Amino acid sequence: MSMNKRSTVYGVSLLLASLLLLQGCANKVAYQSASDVETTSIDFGSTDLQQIAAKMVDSLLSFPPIVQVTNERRPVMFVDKIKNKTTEHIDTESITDTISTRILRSGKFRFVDMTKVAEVSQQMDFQNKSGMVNQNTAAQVGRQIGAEYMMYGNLSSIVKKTKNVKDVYYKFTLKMIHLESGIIEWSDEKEIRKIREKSMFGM
Amino acid sequence: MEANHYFKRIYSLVFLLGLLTACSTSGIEAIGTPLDPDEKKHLLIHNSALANQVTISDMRSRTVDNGDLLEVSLTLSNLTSRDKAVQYRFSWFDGDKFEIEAGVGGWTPVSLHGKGSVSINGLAPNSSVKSYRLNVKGQ
Repeated sequence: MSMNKRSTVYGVSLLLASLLLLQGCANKVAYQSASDVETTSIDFGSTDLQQIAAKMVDSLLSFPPIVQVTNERRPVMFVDKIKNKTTEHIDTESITDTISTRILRSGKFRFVDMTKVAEVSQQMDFQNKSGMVNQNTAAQVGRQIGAEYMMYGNLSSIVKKTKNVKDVYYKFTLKMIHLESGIIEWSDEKEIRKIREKSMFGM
Repeated sequence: MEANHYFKRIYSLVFLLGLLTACSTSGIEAIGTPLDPDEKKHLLIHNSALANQVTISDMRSRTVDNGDLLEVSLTLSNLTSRDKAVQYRFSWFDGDKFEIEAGVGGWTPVSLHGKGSVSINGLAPNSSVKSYRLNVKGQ
């Protein structure tokens, strides 16, 4: 190979290497699909939330005694808080929001929102007591439907660490109780285990 | 001439890297229309490298206790003797082939042991679902 040609090849190689280096340093923001698996860190993330919601909704709606009940009518349910027993800060309301939204959209259950009782009461007072609302159109007090079922649960975790490995196990338990009889009509669990291993170069 | 040869090598390498990146985003699709009288099941392969390692079989469906929600079950098998991590996702369609609850529900990671199989179950999000699609892709 002549000196000229050799220097051209080296030149191109250097250019490619510098381009790769520059690319590595540049900040880049991009939209990602919310449905993609997210493994940014070992902490509780969107993929865990989606897996829990899918398992719980599928399990509840395919449980034979529940199928029988929901074939006849659309029972009313309210969702209590999910206890976060892990050491992480996790927005458990976001998990129950996803679960209740999917159950509602299945057309099998209806929900009452206990977090909005004060606002609803304030609006009812305004409609019925302020004198500003036509009483023919005002929502009548004492006609709300009581919930037949209550949903509640726990999220717990077991974390184990060594110098190079971190192992996290999550267990999400959800139960549905019949309020009048106190019987637990349905319950299920979702387990998730994640491992983070440090690579050879500590990256 | 020799310089041209080096250039060709560099371009081939870049092309190969691009091809590998493209392959990692596609996978295998299983399509079922259980409520059709002539039940149709299809397996579409978009990534033959993955299809040589992982396969979908036993596409079954039912409605629970005369309910109206379609429940499906498929088997995902690892054809290799090495552990394999893949992801799957269900999509649901009504009688007019419109996707129901599009974008709801994410990809689920699943680990397959060497020569191992797992059963994957899915429940339609509502009663209007008539067909489904299961997508499987590599990690």
